[in-house]
Amino acid sequence: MRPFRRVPAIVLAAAIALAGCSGGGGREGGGKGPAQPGTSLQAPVQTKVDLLAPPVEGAGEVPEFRWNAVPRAAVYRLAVLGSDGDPIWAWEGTDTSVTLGGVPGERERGEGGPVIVEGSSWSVAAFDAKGAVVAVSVRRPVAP
Amino acid sequence: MAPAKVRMLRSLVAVALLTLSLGVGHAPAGAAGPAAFPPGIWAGTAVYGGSVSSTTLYATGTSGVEFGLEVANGKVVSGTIEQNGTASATTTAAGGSAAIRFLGSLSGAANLVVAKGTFTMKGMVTIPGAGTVPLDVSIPGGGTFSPSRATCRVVVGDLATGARAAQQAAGFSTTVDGDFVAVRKEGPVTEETRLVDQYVQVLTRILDLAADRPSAQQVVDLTVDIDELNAAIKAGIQCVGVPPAFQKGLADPVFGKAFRSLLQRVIDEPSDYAPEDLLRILASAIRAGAVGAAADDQAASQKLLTEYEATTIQKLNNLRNAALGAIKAKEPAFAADEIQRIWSIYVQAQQLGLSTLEKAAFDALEKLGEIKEV
Repeated sequence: MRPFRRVPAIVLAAAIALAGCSGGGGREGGGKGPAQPGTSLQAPVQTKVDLLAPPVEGAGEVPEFRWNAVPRAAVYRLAVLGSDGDPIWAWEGTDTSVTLGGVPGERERGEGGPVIVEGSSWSVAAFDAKGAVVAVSVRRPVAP
Repeated sequence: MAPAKVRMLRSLVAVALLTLSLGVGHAPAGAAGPAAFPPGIWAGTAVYGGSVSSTTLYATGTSGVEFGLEVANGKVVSGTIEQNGTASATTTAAGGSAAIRFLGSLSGAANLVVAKGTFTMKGMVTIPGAGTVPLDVSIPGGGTFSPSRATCRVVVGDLATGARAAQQAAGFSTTVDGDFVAVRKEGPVTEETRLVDQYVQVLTRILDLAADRPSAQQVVDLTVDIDELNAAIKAGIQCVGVPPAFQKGLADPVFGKAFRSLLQRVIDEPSDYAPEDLLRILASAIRAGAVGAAADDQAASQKLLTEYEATTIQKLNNLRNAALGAIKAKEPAFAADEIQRIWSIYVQAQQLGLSTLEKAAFDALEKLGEIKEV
């Protein structure tokens, strides 16, 4: 872990502990794995995306993700990571809720698609129309 | 007895029979049920009957109901319902019995079917002191009903749900029920055709985009279409013949392979793409299930993830150098734009678990003075 701050004024205090900022090789070896769930994404902004649902435990394999709207947000990007840090699912859109896989409803037996597993986590970042970050969430754990 | 009083007592018996509300006549609109008729052509039967009573009225009857309907896209596109039976009613002043009939059409939603038609009663009313008088009434009627359980082949429910609620709300005791069973007679040919067409269109579009070097926005738009197709397949996965290659719904290997060919085409010649574009395209592939933990081919997925991450890092380093050059050249506006882009890449790398890219972006921001150790 490497304490850091953004110049000139914004100190990303809560984000300091985020793993992966302290070096490591990532996919090609030597990586330190995914960032710790519960810590914030690091960004040049202090506005937060408040995550509303699902609960950390008992979310089911195909939960609906919901968060509060953020002023100036033109698009939200959501990503769900597995316990190994690999992406399970990603999404972008203007809504403030989406079901894992993009299709609401229970999965039928044998139906494919992404599912939540133990140790998964998810986050949402909001971007303005020019692509600049306007708000980020914590990386929230979620388990079925 | 005065003719006016005879008419009044006859009407009273008619109202008593109506209170029984056999069939769907006069049943109020109910809420959508927990199940829905799947797409197809359905034939249903029910035995509808029971009694309704209060301190001044008793009505009882039984009837048979037959209905048929066609469902497509969650809507009842056509249908008819017919009920025939007998009923009797007694009040404190008169009594009678009648043959009852409801004939109507069906519309509405697959989870809340609407019946509209005509309710008729033909029979006799016995009035003490006046003898027997004929009863012949025909009035508009209607109501709603919903399945309680549905499979691809059989749907069950109760036609009397709304009628009972109305009877109880009016203060009557009721034993009326109308359990129905409906069997699917034919599959929805149009629905199958539509689904196959939609599948082919999306697959063709993936391959066309792969040939044309798509923009990031085109790929994002494509994932929206894939979501819609997945939703259509999910809706019909049990009851509609889905395309043979798409039996696994959201994790279709044909789509995954086609989408990965698109990704490979982009990354083989990445010069036209900004690093943000590459991340959006990669995220779209993850969304579509072509890359990431849900992908059917993990080796191909990992290869693409690695290639995209490495190429994005190269482009990120170009951004960093451009920003450093702008700072040196005292072009702060340009530098600020480039730094903002690096921040966006950094955030997305964190989100997508691209730890090598994340570190590269962090290092770039540190070198640009955006982040400093404290």
